Amino acid sequence: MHTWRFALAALAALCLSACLPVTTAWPVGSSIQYPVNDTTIAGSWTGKIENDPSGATYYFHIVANDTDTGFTLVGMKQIQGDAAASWETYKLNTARLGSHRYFNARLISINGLATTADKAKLNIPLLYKLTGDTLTISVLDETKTAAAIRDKKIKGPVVRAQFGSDVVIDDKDVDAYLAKDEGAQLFTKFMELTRPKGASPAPAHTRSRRTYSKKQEED
Amino acid sequence: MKVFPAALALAATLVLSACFPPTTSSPVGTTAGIKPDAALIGTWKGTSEDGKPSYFHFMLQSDGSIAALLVESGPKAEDWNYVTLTTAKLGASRFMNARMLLGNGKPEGGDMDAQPAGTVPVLYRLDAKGTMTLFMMDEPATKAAIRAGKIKGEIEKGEMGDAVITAAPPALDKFLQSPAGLALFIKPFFTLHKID
Repeated sequence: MHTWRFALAALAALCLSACLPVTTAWPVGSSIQYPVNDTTIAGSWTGKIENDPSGATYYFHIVANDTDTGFTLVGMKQIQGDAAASWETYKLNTARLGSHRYFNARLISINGLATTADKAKLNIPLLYKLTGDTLTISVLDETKTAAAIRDKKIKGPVVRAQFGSDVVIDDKDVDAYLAKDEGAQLFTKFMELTRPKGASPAPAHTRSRRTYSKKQEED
Repeated sequence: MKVFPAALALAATLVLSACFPPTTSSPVGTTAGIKPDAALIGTWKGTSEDGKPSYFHFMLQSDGSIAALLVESGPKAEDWNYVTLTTAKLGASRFMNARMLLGNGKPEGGDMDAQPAGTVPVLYRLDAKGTMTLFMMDEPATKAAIRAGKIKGEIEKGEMGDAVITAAPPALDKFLQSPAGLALFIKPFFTLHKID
């Protein structure tokens, strides 16, 4: 069973069935020959997860990679009154599919320690909307995704595990599906982030010099 | 000597000579007792002298050290660093002993298991309004103090050579409580305000 920390674990904790985040075998955006990373999301964001019993405050710092291959997300979880805090880093790319914008996130490290190779390969798709200084992030709903797989709208295994199901989208046409409104509707809002006071958004998009595929192992 | 990347020295960028900050071979505060300063724990925000906003997240570790995440913010954010530090109070002065572990995710010195030698002493002041001001040792002043025999240390050859204070803990702590020692911390390199 995967043990996802941080905001995604917080999400898991909120799921009644102790469900796990849905991942994809193919990175979201891998069908785009010349991907463009959305630099308007760069910078710092802060927020809480709705109904999170810990009341933790999250800081997400989206930092451009010097190789122009997307971003590193440095995420920090802080609980007031609790000196201990935790942090994680993710490799983050963005993709615009149809009228929808997505992150593809891959876990890099937890509290400064590199994650395992198998976890580092997993792609976490996230739908995002940027409205002014508000960034809304949604994750794939496990129940809806499992239903879409069973209805053959998208391919992937739905594995029975000890605690609910483990859903993975394994479909190289995942981008085409997520470009549709039907694909975007599989996502459920889990977090709304705002710019801290005084922060300002980035202006332009940058074109990535690199493409990536399922098999390509990037940094 | 070890190279301190980007910004623990958001500072290194501010040093006029473009060298790396002076270090000490022993941590500051050994004679007084090295204890984590609870006042640091949490999230701080500040702006460097080149105008880039940054967040400093200080996290207490189980071994009594403090881990710090230093992350640039804003539209041109490119750097983040992971630092380990200890804190001590010498007289009325508070010090951090800092070591860079990761620069943009890459281990300092190329190997996470090979800890960089020495620590960077940082003098920090907290005022009644909750503002924290950070100072590092001024390199030319530190080299002058070493050359004048005021404190034991080594200076690498060349104009850009690094300075390492090698004085034993008792001598080091005594010096940094003196006016001559405190005078080495000339210019603040960061001013932060606690936000969480």
